[in-house]
Amino acid sequence: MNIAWLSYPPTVFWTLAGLFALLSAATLIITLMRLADRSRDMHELRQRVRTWWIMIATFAVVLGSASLWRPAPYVLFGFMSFIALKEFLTMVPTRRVDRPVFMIAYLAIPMQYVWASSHAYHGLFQMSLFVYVCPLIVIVMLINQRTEGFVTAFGTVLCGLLMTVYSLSHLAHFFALPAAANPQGGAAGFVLYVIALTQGNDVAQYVSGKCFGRRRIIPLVSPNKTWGGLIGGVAITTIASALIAPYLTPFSTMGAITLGVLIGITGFFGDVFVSAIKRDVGVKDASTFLPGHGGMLDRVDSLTITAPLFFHLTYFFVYMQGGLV
Amino acid sequence: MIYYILRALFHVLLIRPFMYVWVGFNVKHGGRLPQNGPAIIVSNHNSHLDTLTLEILFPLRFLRKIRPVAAADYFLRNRILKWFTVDVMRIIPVERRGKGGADPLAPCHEALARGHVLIIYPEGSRGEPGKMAEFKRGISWLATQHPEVPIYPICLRGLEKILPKGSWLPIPFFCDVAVGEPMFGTGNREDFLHQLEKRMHDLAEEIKVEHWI
Repeated sequence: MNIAWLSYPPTVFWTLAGLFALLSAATLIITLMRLADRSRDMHELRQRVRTWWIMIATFAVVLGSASLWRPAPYVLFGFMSFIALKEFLTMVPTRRVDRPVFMIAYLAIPMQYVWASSHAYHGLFQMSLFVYVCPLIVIVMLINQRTEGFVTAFGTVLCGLLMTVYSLSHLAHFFALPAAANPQGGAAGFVLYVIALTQGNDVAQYVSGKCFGRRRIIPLVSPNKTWGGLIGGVAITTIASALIAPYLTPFSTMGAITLGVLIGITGFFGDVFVSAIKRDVGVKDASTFLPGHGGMLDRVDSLTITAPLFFHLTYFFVYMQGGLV
Repeated sequence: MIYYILRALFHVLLIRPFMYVWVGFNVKHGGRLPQNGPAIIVSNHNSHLDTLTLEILFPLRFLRKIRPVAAADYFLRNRILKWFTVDVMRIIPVERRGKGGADPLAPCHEALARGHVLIIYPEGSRGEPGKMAEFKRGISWLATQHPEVPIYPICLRGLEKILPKGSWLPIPFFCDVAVGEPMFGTGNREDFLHQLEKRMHDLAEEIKVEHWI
């Protein structure tokens, strides 16, 4: 399917069309609610939906450009990693002496995405952050000779790299693997599947929590998370997974259900993981980069866990078992 | 005119992409910014990036009216620097140590009369990173002599982490900007200075950021 220079596998095209239909419905409902009751303050909700439009449109353009301009997905996910890492390093306590270390961390982003761009670099893609970047960071920190806060500083940078660079780069790496693994959806199918389910899971857990949420799960970290929200969200995500997997992925029904449950549960933990960090350092939003949502880190929180997990499961069960790699 | 184009180009090609992509900032109360000159912007000063940050809060067509007030002894050190700061960046150089006789603030009065927006750092220099030094008195003289000109306190935080005094490589961090309500000069200079300092500390409280540990 082609629109101008953008080309999509038909199933990806119709899934994106479905997402735009959902967004249009949301925009319509908000507009009607505003017309019905002008006194209601819907500024935040409207901003949030507007940002969704921009995010999904960007994502759709990048998925469609990947066949014409190969770097497109690496540039997009690399940029997302950069913004998220910058938010992370801004909100956590850091030492002035470690400024060169942060520069290395930022430079690790283009490195990681270059490795992500070819299957020939698969080993480097998986290990170079640990085998090359970590020792380099240690060496620079040793040259600085400041042992006060050494462990915390090293752990902080490593946490930031894992959470924002290593995890998100897995989404881009799908585009470098043999397309034969997914005859229907291609790399775009896998990536759209995991991102749509993870983000949808956030929304489903939120809505379900508003409807049935009573007993809190982890009140000390995130007071708004309830058992009702988690169970309802996982149920919705599992059903959604079983419905869209046949179009976007080669998974069997059993596989789709298992992945739906896994994405639902681990997505929840990714969300709470970022909440815990924010609570520790005492900020509400990582930045104002995505108006209505907060920062990039607030939006990709669940993906930090679901993306690498989904990648490894797919790599093992589809690519390796299928004899493609 | 040619210098105005040069300054605008410098902004569009270098400063704005650099500030929006590499650095990134969160603005609080951006709606309070002046829509027109004359006005005075008062800010805390910790980094060379402060002036660039304050400038990009305004639309490009406003740029020709913005005049950073800067130390003559530092920014006029050599000819290239002087050309860049005075002609391109349009700074108003002032002598930090008055030599007696002429009013050192005369060029500021002239710029305000022409409807320009002054940027003034009453701390006098970039000082200790993240710490606000005591305000110098120049701003209170300007305020009392131009009681009709609105004075906007703007607090900047986090820029001293990106490019601290004494370093040359800007490391990306998000920084915070808080714009305060405009103030006007009163007859009492001491009193005005105290109020301004208090307003600035209140703004700083609104945007607490992590400092170096």
